[in-house]
Amino acid sequence: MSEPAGRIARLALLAYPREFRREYGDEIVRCMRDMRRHGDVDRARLAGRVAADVLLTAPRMRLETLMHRSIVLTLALGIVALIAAVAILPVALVALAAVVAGAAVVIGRRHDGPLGDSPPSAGWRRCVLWGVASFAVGSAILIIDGGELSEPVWALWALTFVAGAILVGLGIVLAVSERSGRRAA
Amino acid sequence: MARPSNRTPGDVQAFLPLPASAMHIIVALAEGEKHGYAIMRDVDQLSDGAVRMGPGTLYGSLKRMIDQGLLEESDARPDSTLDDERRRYYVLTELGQRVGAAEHARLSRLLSAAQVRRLGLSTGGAT
Repeated sequence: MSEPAGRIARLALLAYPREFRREYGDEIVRCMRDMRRHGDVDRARLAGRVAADVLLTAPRMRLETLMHRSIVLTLALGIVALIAAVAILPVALVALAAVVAGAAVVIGRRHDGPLGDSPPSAGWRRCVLWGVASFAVGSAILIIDGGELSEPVWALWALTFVAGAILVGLGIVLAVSERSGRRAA
Repeated sequence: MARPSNRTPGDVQAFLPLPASAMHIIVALAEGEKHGYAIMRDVDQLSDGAVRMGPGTLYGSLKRMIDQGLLEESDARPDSTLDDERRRYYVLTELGQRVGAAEHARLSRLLSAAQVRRLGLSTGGAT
């Protein structure tokens, strides 16, 4: 096949998906060259045959590749969504529990007022203590499981760490508000 | 060269009926390994020019058949003085041979039925 004809053949190959081109591009060009050398068709007829062939086969291959990719993409997205759901569920539960606990603390403080039974400093200390305990449990899970966390163990570990973070955070907020309350008094 | 296959006869039936292009390729490769252009030329001769595969059709079919386990690339290369050693040669796998045989049997049964019913004879068509 002459240089310009070879270039045109390579250009025609662009219609095919990249994987197919990479795999069979050289073979196809070699086959076109054989058709020209050994076949009894002239250049114009050969070009017409090849063009018709490309027009008929390339869209089908593109569609097949696209469908294959979309199936893979759908599967990948499904798996990611499942993992995200498993990961988010304990966090969401802990967040909900924290909101409920926070609301209970705030309501309790309003009802009890400044002269409640429990000492005002007990709330934040308890929060921090529970938070640290939660961190400790999480660390113990990590050590016992050897770092290779399975799905349920990972969920439990995440739960303890998130709960610990929330409780310590809540404790700090309570401590700060108590301090500012004392200053105001 | 043929890849051993664990497929059962039921799996072979799942390939049938074969597309005309696939059956032509199987028949072309029944006598041994061939490169792409040789398959194309053979199919042309086998069908008296009725099935003319372009390069895209041929290599698209070859790729599909390789993916299905019906064909594989042959490692054997002819004498480089006789042929371009960069050419890729294709050969039937054991599964490809069995699927070809099953399609042959199916088409034979169909032709027998057509003969029994004198298809084409009573209407003055080609004999």
